[in-house]
Amino acid sequence: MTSTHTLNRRMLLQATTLGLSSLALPRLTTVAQTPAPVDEITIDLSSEPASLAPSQVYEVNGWSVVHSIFDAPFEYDSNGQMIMVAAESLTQVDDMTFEIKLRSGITFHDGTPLTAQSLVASYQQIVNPDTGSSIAGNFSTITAVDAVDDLTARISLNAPSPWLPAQIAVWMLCLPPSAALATDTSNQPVGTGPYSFVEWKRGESITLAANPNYNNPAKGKPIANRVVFRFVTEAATRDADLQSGTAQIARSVPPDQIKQVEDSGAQVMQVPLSCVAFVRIATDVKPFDDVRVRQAINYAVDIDAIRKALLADTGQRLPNLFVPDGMGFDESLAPYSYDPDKAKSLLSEAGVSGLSTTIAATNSERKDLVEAIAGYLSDAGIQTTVEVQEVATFNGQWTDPSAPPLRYATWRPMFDPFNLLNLVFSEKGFLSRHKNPDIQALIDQAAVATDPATRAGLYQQLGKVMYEQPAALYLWDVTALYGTAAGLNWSPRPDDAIVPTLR
Amino acid sequence: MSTITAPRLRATTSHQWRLPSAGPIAAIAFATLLIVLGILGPSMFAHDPNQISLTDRLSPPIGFGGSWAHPLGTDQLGRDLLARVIAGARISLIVAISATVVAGSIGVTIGLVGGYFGGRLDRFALWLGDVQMAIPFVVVAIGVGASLTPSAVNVVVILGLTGWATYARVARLAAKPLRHAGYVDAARLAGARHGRILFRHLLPVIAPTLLAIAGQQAGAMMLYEAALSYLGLGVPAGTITWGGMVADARDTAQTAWWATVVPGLAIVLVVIGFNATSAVLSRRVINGRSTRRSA
Repeated sequence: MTSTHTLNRRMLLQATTLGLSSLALPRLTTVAQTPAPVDEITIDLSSEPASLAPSQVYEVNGWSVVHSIFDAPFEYDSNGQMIMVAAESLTQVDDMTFEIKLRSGITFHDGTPLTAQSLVASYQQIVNPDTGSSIAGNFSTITAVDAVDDLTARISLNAPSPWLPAQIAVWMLCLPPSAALATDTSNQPVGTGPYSFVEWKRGESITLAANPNYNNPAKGKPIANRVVFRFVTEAATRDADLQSGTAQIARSVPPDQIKQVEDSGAQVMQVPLSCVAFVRIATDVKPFDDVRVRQAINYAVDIDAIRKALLADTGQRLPNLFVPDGMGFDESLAPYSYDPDKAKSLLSEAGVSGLSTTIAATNSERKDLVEAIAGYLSDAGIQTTVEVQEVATFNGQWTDPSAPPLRYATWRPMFDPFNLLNLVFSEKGFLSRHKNPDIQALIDQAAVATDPATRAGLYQQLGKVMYEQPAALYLWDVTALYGTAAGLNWSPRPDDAIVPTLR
Repeated sequence: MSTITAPRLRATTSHQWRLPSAGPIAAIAFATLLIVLGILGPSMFAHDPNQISLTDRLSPPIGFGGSWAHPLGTDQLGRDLLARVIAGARISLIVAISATVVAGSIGVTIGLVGGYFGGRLDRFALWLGDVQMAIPFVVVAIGVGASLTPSAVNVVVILGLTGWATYARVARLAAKPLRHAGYVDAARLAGARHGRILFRHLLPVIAPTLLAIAGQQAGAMMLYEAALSYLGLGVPAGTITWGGMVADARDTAQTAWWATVVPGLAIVLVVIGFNATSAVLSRRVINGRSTRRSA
């Protein structure tokens, strides 16, 4: 009873301090600016992380826990600007060399000091074939990571890799040097982050404890002494948890439940993410090899109607894969319009009639969005059925020629467009079924362009080509809807990881 | 030589065959109506059950602010709920009836064989039934669902394989006392083989009881099918099922109750309809029996 009471009072103080005027409470601006953390909060994730080893985590629920325990040398803010976390600086010595200088005085949860060996270990874990990390390829231009001195790590490359920092921010986190040769550090992860690991009850929850000395300007301070991440796959259950006070933060509130959540006194935070939604079209099978069919698909779907009806009018329709505030976004390029007649005439021009196809999506995505897309395609004459798959099945079928030709995907983070382009739309990508010499040339040029302005220009050029010769049905940039207990304040991140800290 | 005939179960005269009361009649009528609609199918209606109309999403039913354009309202994608309930009736009925037939055939065969032959075979049949009853069907469903792609056939197989024990027990109990009944002995003396005795002489005797069970079980099968579809273990995602409709509308359950209540009500009413049919059938069987005894 007392603890609940304290919790609420503190939360209210925090809320008023930070001016959450929606609560319509008197502002007490004289209260201390850094409120003491609450005792415990519960966060409802939408699935259980597959691993807690940073090199093995490729989705947001895993990242939520991983970025709570570990620090990246640097991260990206919502404007795509790099912010230093465990590092003090990132220097591009020349086209083939990066140097990361870590902050001094940082210690791991077990008390050992953070040194440059940490990044060496992190790199080794990523490229060690025994760990089987799916993102080892993102680090393939690295020839060596060496500790130059106690706090400086030098990254040597065999090709200019301006997109590498965006990979480091997500996967090359500061690991203890002992993790260098470990294949899985999931069971007892030790990092330098705002929370230390307590326990993982498989199938149920992960508990972390606040790192009391943690105060990083980039990530802020822990907001609770204990954090319990629970795995709640059902959106309705997460919202019920939020409304009953069982959870204080819940991922992915369905837009239809915003009102209900708000009526219960909790809040819904809308946070634009560095994330793009699209329907990848397999361009290596008939009739999708015909660019007119792909254009028809882009004309056939009323993306804005879907956004308004099913996404609470968040995000915007995109002309290609480049996201607003990200590199390569071109404001002057208008997205496809909704023009079902044009879609039909393009289809008949291509000699396509009576086409039926399948669109695949994982069971962690929203089925209604995919059904709406399939509905519009069917109306335009492409009979489309929806196939909902397990995440593992879906991920195993990116290049499977017998898999559904259309696949709905959301890709994050888009700190740097290289990752998505290189993996999914380049003929070299291990997730790709796309081959287009115009696109390939631009992807390859941009990959080695070290001057940011040149690179942005190349990506805008690429964006135009990808608009004219679509390789996907381009959808929208994704906005996260987090449910948060009244008065609880935390700093959301553009990568959609829930790290319960406050800057 | 005197003629030996199988006992007659049907001794229906008007005073024994009372009309069921209004409740069951309504339930049976509703179930019948849905069966008819399910068979005639969506062709009768202007609305395509898959037609998405985002501007019409979550329109309420008539009487709650809705219009005749969508008498039962629309779901989260603006699809007509009446058209979907009717389209869903078809798959629900196909699955429920096929699963009942599969379970009934397996169960009756096992039960009859066990009861008729007795001994070790009987004990084995009983044990098999116990095993089946000890395994919850959801566990089997999850196992099958994890290893095979979803299909209606899977659902029928799952429900059939996990629902036969009831039939087996009833068939066995009914067959056991009859194995040495006079007319069975006579058939055996006349040279009839076991198969003929089982299916020509024993089965007809217990058929009315089995039909009564089947009526009740068909309702249960429909409920299980809905449960499996709700859990996403049933038929493929694109197929319209009542359980699937309830599952898909969960997010809007509190803001637009009709999207869950309409398919939910369809499940409830049809299950009640099946049960009422079964109750009427079994009353008839019991009446028939009591007549036979008193005669």
